[in-house]
Amino acid sequence: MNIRFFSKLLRSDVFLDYQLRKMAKKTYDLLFKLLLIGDSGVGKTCILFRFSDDAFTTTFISTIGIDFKIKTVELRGKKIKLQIWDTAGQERFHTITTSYYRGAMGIMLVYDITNEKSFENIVKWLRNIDEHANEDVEKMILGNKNDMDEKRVVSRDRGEAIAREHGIRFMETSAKANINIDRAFNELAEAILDKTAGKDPTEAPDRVLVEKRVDRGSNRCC
Amino acid sequence: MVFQELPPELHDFISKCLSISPCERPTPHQLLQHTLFQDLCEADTITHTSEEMKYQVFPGFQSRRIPVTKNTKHPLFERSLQELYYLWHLAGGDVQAELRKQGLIRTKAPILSIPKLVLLEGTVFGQVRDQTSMLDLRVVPIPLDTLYQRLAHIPLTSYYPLVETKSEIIAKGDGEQLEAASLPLVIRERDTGYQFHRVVLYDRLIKGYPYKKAAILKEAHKDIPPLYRGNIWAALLEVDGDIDGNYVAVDKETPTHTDRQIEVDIPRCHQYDELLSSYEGHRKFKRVLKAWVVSHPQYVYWQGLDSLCAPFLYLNFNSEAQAFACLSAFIPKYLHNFFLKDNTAVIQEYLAKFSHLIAFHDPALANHLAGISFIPELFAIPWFLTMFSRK
Repeated sequence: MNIRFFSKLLRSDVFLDYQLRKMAKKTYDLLFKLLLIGDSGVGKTCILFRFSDDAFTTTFISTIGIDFKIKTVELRGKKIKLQIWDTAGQERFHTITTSYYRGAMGIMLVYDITNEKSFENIVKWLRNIDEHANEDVEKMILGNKNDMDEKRVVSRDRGEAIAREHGIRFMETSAKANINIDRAFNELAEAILDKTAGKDPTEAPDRVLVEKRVDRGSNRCC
Repeated sequence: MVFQELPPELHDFISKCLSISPCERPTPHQLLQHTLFQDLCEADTITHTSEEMKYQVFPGFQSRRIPVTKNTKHPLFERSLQELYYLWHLAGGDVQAELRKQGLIRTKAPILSIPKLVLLEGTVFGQVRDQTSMLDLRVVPIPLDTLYQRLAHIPLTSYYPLVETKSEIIAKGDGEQLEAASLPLVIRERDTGYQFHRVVLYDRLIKGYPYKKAAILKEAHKDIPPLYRGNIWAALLEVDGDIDGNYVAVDKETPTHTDRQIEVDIPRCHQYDELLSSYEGHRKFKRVLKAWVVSHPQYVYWQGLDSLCAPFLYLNFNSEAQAFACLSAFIPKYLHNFFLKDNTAVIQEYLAKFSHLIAFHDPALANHLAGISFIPELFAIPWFLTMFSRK
């Protein structure tokens, strides 16, 4: 390991810039930690890449362990910094990834509409959330790759049904065609904002609530 | 019985060789005078007396073989076809251009393949069948002139480097080679003359493996010609024995639970290279990975193993067995226990050592990273797990 190279890298302009911005006075009002989970190859990294960089590429490498991206959005006049954790889908990495469940305020559970198994595993991922995440974490199920309708094996109804059954929001997305990506993140962030600010959830516009949630807590601190 | 039936000349020859008393046994030189070899005598060198032989091998060596006349074969032809092609390509050879010259690759405007008239019942006029994709039995000789020219100044001795003597002697005798050695690697890898020296030398050394391992290592510190990178890696990893047999013996076909993960990872992670993203590439990739997982029951497939396998498969694309052997030798050497089912302890150990290294070499950086809680778990796992093959 070339440590000099590493320190050089971290001191390069890009990183310095990032550091300076970090050191500057808080440029945001709230910090939300989100987590992306789901089977390997469903497109978690692509969803995140579309959201953070507004781009898509099919040449992705598998995520090893954990990775993250940061994006600041503005919601109801508040600057919200989203720290989004991207996890490895391979089951073996669970010991690493589950340790990030605890700090997450919102979790996106992704499956691939062209892959039956990834949909069946949603139940398993939900169980994981129950075991490792905060009780009141905001959840959302995303059926990704909905641009590939000709290869679809999981109908929209089935996705909605499982979401309804567990009282979770649901959306079909496409990182490739940029369908519902921003909307999904914004909606999840708003849901968290509602709780944080202790506001009435009905205030939020433009929302598809699959089932009325029980708002468990208010005045939550991040 | 059989011996009795031999032709009388041969019978006599063998009897002489088998003389019990050494005094009666003829010397090799005397044997060459035997009538058995009479026909060959005029033909070639065997008749030389020992004096002549000595003379031929040493001082006469060059005078006898150097002239590249019409009757003598150019020493370049003793090189393998693979080497010749590599050098020819470096000297500017381009197969497609050669084929185009011969009219074997023709470009045709797409508009020309549209029929001039199509009747409603389906009769077509004016559409000439495209013949460019049809089989053509013509043999196209590839001109080697440019290559000869590029290598013209290279002395004959360079075709036969002495690997047993101190290589400095040869290097000193060849100023050009020394000169090129100080150039940046990218230039050295494009220099026909330099690559010629390296390829010839490495060919010798590889043939002398495993005895020449030390010399290979020494040369590898300078540079490795792209042509032999796969073999040199194999030599440095001490790949040895019946690699083909070992590879064939591994069951690569029976489905296992890792298959799904391997099938998900291979197509999406290796699109940076045409070879690895081809159908054949995917197939080979899967076989090598499966072979590794099956033959190492104590280990499992962790995502990242594919990235580790990729360079070996790329370098040994025509020999899955060698790619597999290299991967199998590389992992215990550099990534011991990384692929255990529970590798937490090993990963933690590496990350902890890494943190200490940063703290030692760059305390300011270490403090900063700790301050923003940017722990190595967040960024360094893929580095170590793939041995930087992704970065």
